[in-house]
Amino acid sequence: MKKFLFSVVIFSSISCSVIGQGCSDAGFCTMGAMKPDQPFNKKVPIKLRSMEISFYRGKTTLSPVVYVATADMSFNIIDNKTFFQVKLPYQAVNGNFGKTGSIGDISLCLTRNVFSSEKFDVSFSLGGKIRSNDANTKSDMGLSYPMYYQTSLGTYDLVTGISLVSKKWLFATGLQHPFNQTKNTFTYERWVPVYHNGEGQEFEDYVLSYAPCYQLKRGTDIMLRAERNFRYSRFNFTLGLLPIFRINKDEVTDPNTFQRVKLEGTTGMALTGIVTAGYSFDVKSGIRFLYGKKFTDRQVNPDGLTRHSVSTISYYYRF
Amino acid sequence: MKKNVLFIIFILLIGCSDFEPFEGIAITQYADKVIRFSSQYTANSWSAARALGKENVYPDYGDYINAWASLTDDDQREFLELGFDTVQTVTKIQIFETYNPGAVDSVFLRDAGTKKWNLVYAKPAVKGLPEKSRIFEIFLIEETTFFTDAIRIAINSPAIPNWNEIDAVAITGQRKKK
Repeated sequence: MKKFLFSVVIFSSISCSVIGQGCSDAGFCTMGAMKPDQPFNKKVPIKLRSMEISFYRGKTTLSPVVYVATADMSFNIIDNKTFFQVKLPYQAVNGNFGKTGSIGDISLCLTRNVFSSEKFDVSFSLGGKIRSNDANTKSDMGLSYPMYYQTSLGTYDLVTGISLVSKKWLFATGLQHPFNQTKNTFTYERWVPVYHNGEGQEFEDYVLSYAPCYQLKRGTDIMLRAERNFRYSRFNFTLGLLPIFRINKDEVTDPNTFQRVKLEGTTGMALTGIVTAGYSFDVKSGIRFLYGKKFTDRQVNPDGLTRHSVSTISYYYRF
Repeated sequence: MKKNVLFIIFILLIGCSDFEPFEGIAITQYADKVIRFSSQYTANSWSAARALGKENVYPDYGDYINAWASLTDDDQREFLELGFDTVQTVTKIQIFETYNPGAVDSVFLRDAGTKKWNLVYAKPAVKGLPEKSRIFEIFLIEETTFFTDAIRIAINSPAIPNWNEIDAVAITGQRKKK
């Protein structure tokens, strides 16, 4: 345990000046078996339904700040080992280019407890994400926003994963694979002349700091989660690491030539450190606070899933 | 021991991206030599050499001798191949069009190492632009992974009536540290 804490401290200290990327509001890390802070209590009968309302704030590495309110519902089907989860988010983004807001992508996930013992449980999840729009929301002037401002990833995704949860530990791994490309049409040539009337090198540099995302096709992500849980009667805390690996390159259309291009710097690992603190009002309900801080990122992030930090507060009710 | 090994693997994984961006010195330079051209109006006035160096017609608009113009107004497609003094990567291209703009329909950058031309822009000529000079800016979606020493500008002259004149050409990117 000491070594684990030591490792976390080391990662924290080496990351101070590094811009982060990875865990975000839009990913698969809060679905089914990949969720953080999963309950493990053999004394309390399992609840067959749960409802969680959460409010999320994520500060991106550029100006946009992302706000998400999510209704996360889970209920058992077939037996008390199989659960179906539905997540309905409302997402708003506020940044230098403007404001956007709408229903976000819908997550659906089926989770089955495949092994259970006194010491640990193993669960498997299979699900997907359904896009709420084509990720081509435009400004008042008709210019497509970069992906940072889009309220949807614009793709239909397969999500699957598996977890092992004990009283003290949670280990999980998952995969998210998008099947299609977005319809996003963000280009520098449209934004540079109009952002601050195109006057000032700093404004041009700011526009160019958004990675190209014209008809973006994201690569496949694989996540790992390692989490230490400290459980008490009413309080519980977790300390965890969440590395996400993009295993193949993002691909966009070059708006200058209309050729498809695989972007350099889009693969690799993004590492997030996560702490949570929860308080249970009773066996049915409680609140939880989550804070995530990015330690490392990928070089190029066309999908806009870049966050300096994320924080979420949520209320859950199990019945 | 096992924990140490795992810890080291984890550290290594952080840097598992195979991409290392080039870190040089920012540079913007204007074309400084003529390599080839399809035609020029005369060997002096409106010559291809008039497209070299910093702009000296822009922001004025009109048929000025200090810009390049082709021999005929609209008889054929035209091109200019211009060289640069220092090899560099490219993120942005600026073409100063000072008379009847919009005819540029493709742009190539030459790899200084292999001498191969790389297409970086290919769109139809733009008709109906206002009668005023403009800096036609091309933002590359990625910094070139090669160093360039020359640019080729292809012009669909018949598509935009009258002479299509170019005052200057600049590229922005990074050069090597000395």
